[in-house]
Amino acid sequence: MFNQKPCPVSGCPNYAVSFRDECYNHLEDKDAYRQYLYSYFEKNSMFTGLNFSYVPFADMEFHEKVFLLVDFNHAQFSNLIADNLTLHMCFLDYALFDSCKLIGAKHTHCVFAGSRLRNTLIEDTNMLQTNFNNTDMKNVVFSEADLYNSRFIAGRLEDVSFHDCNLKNVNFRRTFRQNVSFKYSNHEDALFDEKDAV
Amino acid sequence: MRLYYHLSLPYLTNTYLIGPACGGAAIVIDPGAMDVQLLELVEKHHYYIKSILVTNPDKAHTSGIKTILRIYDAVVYSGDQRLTEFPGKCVSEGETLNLEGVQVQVFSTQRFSRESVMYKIENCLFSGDAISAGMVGDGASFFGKALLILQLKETFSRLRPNTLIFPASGPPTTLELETNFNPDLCS
Repeated sequence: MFNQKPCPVSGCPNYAVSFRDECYNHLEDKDAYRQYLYSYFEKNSMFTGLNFSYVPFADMEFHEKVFLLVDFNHAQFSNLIADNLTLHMCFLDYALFDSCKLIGAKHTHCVFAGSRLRNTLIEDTNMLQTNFNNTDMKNVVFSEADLYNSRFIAGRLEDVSFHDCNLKNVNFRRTFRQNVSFKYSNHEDALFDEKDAV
Repeated sequence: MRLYYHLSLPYLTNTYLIGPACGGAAIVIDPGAMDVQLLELVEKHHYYIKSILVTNPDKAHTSGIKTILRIYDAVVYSGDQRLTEFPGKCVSEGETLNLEGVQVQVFSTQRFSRESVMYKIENCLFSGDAISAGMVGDGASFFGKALLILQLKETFSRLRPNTLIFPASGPPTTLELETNFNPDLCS
């Protein structure tokens, strides 16, 4: 499971990040830590039970990496390009995604709840049983994505496109939707509030 | 410890497998089916199922038990006496089980269903049908749901906000997310 070691700073509720004894906010060498992670990600392809909470990642490319039970809560991703990424039971709650591209990924049983997604493309991706509850999305494109049994409950979706996606059993209840397109997607198999069914 | 997830197809429910990093005695939670994929998951990691934890003794969570017991010599833990047709133990609120060195805390959700329990292992809460991402007690009556909400609030006040919740159906969530956003719990 997750290797969770509490941050030793008095009163800090967070866990220490992987390879360090403190949480990211209490690290003194944040830049050096990020550089270490960039080279660690480059050298390895499989990551299990790690914690990268609150870590900002910018201008990165992930190719065919596998993340199992990795905690990225409150992490920030900008200009991330990922292809053939596997995320299994990963926690990306309260994360920020800005100008990211996820292509050909396989995500199962992951949590993106409470996250903010901006100008992001998710293409040709399996995102089975993913928790997107309360996400705030603006200018996001899901293209040819399988979102079977995922939940977007109470999310804010603005300028979001679900193009040719599998929406079987996807829960959109209590969402705020503005300029949301479901072109070529089976939105009739998704769950909406009765009053605002598409 | 390693945690693995398996979707039990007949009922589309989640089954979880927990075991040491390098093989050995494993715990399976809510085996809705014992199919080839789950067997492969167990064998690939050199596990031997020693304990079966049941959150709710209905078919969606127990259909795989008979098959598992034909293969492995396992003990069934449940909040329901009826499951004692299998070699097992009835658990109740406040109990802590020691399963091959793994501490398992038992939390009752009997206000939702008399036999329902949740299990906490390390910082992971296996909540069964009591709570899933954005929903409380799907399928419960109005009165039952109201009682369950009270019980969940009471239980959650004793747990750390960053407790991870793995429900029997749908995607995982965290205690912080549910207490912040789940309309039944944050009001």
